[in-house]
Amino acid sequence: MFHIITNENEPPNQSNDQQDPTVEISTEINNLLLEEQTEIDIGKMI
Amino acid sequence: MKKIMNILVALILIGSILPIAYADNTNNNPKNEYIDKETQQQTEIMNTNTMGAEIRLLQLEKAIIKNIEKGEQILTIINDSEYNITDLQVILAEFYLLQEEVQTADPNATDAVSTFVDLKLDAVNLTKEFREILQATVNNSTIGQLQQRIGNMTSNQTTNVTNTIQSKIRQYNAHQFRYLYQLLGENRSDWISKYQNGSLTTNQVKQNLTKRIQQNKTTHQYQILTALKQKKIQHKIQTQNSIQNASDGFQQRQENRLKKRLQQSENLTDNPLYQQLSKRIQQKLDKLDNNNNPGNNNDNGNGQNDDGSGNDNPGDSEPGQDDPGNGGENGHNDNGNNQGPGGGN
Repeated sequence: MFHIITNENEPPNQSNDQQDPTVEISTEINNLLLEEQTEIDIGKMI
Repeated sequence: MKKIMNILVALILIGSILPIAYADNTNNNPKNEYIDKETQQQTEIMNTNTMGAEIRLLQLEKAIIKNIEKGEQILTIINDSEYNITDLQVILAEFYLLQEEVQTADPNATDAVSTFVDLKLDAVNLTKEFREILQATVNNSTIGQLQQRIGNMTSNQTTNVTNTIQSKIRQYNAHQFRYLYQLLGENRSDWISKYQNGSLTTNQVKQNLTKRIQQNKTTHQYQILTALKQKKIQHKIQTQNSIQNASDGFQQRQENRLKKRLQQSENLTDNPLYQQLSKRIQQKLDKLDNNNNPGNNNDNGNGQNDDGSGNDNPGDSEPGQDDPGNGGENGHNDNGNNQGPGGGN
């Protein structure tokens, strides 16, 4: 016997969002670009 | 029918992405004995094009200039008191030599990643040594006063280098935007020129790109996504190779670097500080030699301040675990031609 456990508080099925490639494309575009204010941290002198 | 075809094409494209995504997860920042995760991430753009390497070297130079400036200020403040600051002055002298090495590093060289990794680690170690010796030299109250005065310090020492970095980053991003528009089959040289001359912001170009992508068919969107993922994986593989190369010859390069620095220091021995620096670098070389050949005993009997080799206390050289940088934009691009670091000699 299998019981299907459901939870009404779960967020709605997001499969439609996951199928939208533009969200992932946006992330990949951000990964390709550099922030102008980035600094390299070599530690503090004090 | 058309919809079903679209879904089928999408599924085929997703299938082609899966192995790439798997490789992405398995290759992500492996542990490395010498190179922390943050540094590994920083080297990623160095494999995109030479602009990436130029940017990282300039950012490192900026961080070094800021710390040298703070170090000089600290020494100026505590120089009048009873403290012996020679060791701190000697570290700053080495910092100046390091700055020159960063300035003369070739971003086009095939080993630019190794050079960046090495010089960054040296900068982290010198900063750490300076901080630890300072803390052992002055009392807590003085440390508190220094933090207040130096923490609020602003100057123009890094203005030139900051402007150069921003310009290079715009060139780098323009190169990436050009590639993205090409994926869309478009040539938006007008937008890219405007972005490069500052008439358009990064966000404005990104928004335009996103809008254009959304106007494309889903199948084309998946083709773009696949191309981006493939590029990302190729890039990660290149980065892993560079990191591996940087790790492989690490100790030998460290020895070569110290020998070169020793030679430079010996050429400047008119200044007593550089005599001290030569001793200090020789001690580091002896220590490296002893570590590599445990049977030897090359201790010159002058064992204080024997650090910075990166081999002394393995846990010490974790740049990623240091506190974040000192913030605060500084100023001019002082080319640091060693006018006598350490204030007062």
